[in-house]
Amino acid sequence: MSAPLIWIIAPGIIAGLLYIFRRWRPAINLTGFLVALLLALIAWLVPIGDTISLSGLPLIKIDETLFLLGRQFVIEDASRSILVLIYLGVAFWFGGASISDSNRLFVPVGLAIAALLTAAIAVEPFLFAALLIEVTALISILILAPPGSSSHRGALRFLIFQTIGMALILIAGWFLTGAETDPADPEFILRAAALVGLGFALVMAIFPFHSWILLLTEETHLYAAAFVFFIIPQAVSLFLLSFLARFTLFSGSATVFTTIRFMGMLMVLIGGIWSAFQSHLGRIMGYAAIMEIGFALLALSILDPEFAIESGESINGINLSTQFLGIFFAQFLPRLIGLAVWALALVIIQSKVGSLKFDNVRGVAYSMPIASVSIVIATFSIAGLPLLAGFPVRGSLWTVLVDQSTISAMLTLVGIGGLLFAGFRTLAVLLDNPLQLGWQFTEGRSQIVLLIVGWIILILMGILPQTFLPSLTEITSIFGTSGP
Amino acid sequence: MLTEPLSIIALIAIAVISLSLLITTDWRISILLLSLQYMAVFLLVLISWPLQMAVVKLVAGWMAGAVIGMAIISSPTVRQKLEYGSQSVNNESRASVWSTFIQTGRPFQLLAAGLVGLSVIYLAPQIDEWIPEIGIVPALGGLTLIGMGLLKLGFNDQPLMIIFGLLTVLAGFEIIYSILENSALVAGLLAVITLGLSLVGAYLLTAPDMEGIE
Repeated sequence: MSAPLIWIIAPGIIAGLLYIFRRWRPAINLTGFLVALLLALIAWLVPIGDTISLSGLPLIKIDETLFLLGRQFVIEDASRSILVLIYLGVAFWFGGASISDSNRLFVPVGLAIAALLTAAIAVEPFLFAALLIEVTALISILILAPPGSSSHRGALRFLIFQTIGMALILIAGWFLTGAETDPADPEFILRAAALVGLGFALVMAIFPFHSWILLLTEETHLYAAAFVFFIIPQAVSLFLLSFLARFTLFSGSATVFTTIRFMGMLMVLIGGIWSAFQSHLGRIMGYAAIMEIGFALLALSILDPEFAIESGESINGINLSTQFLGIFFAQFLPRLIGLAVWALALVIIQSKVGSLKFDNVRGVAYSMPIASVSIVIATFSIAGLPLLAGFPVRGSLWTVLVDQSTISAMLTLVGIGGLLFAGFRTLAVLLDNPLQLGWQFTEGRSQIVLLIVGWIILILMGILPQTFLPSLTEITSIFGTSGP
Repeated sequence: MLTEPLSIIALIAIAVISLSLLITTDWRISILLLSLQYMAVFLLVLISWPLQMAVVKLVAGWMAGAVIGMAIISSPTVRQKLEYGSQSVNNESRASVWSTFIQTGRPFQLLAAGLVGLSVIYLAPQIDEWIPEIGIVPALGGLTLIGMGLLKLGFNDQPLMIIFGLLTVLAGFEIIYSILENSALVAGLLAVITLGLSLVGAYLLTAPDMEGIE
């Protein structure tokens, strides 16, 4: 038995089966949740590459490699922590699928996406991950344009950007591989860098190619949309990190990290400022998702080898010190929980009031206090307010960033200020009560329970960061460095 | 290995077919043109790939056309919508051929196609210089398809036309990338993406009427 068989082929087959039985929505939602949880549990407990024994008797050995069409899919033992994160994240999202009334394709497609992203991490040569991310984008359309929906502008734009971006990244990869064999031609590297930049900008929804995110916040089911806002940029940022680590000629150029830092800062700044002026709760979440992409880029930019600290190792042209790389991975969990809680609260409100425009949600806090508080907590957590999940990671990132580029750090703060302002505006609108309505709880019991669990996680992660940060920074070991 | 005259014929076919695909609004003609386009792509891919691998492009392309065609045929609502669009253009054409030609934006499309053609003629030798393995004919073919596909994407907002545009861009990329990478896995994944795009197109065409069925 091989690891890719367990974490790629098996969930892929189960996703297919769940699709076939999609009419039994509660059953497939529960099955998908349990399967994802089980895969995360196996990844956590079972070592890869070692023989597992029971009372001294060798039982089973999970091999690292699977050969397919002449290429390899390799999942090493060091990748287990990222497998836990992928499948635990997906399980967390599936946990809210029934409550959020997501369409019946959400869980089958979500599980297939998890399998494909695992394949993207495992495939060798790693450049082929671009193709697998494109396949992921293709199947994401099933949840972004659910049956019955008539407007598909956001989904189509997403598809166009992903397809063109994939082609550019593959060509750029070829250029960079060639440049490594003949490093004398700087123009060759420049061309490749331009292609890489444009390719990743398209695939990762980097400004000005972020418009599909905002279109989707108004066109589709927000819970499914938020899942895609989380998973696609996350996978692509990991791919970009592999790109930087692999192509030393590319990452060795000082302008590469300056550009990444500038684009990250711009995304945070634009996302924050524009969110402050929105009058639609879904669009505010869309801008927060754009800010999260910016934070991912900023976390990559601090790996600039020019600023390598003494304790850090500079391998393969980027600073792979655990401290810096850990910040990149530590953002995953607060981002996941924040977006999931936010999206769940929004769909609960949307199901009651129809539209998420400010005029429609005025005073909603009095009829749906739990959902309303959830939106505010999630907004503040993503902004990085103290005592919430986002704060420890934002704080670490900002501390490093201010040393590397004070202007970027300051402008990032302006963006964060914009999102905080949007959070306060949301709170004011939700509490606006001209008719003097009394308090009541119209959310369902299961909705209340799940949202409160979300609050608790967001608060616990904020006040006890030492409980989750070490396990997240352990993921750095896939790049050859050890966790704390 | 493909002979040079045949590759030049494939190149001319690509130019004519992609231009026709850009300006046509009839879904039947578009699918026919798409099938012919994949025939020409197959011939250019044959320059660098063995027959058994190159034929994957042809089969995947034809299957993509078949998937879209079947989706339209099997849904009367979709067919009605698409045919209503084509008929309104035809009705206008009875009044005055010239005014229809102007009103449908064809002169602008042809002008833009001409500009793309000039850009391709300028860029192809440079690509050939950057990537010496590629050769001028595949570079011209690949860039023509990418350019025309991008134009199709720019001129349309209907799912069907956007999928045709994406398939055209992807076909152009595949001609160029087939020279750089000849792995079976890449060939397989690109075929999956071609088929996936057509399935997504078919899904997006029928999704608005699927509420009761799902």
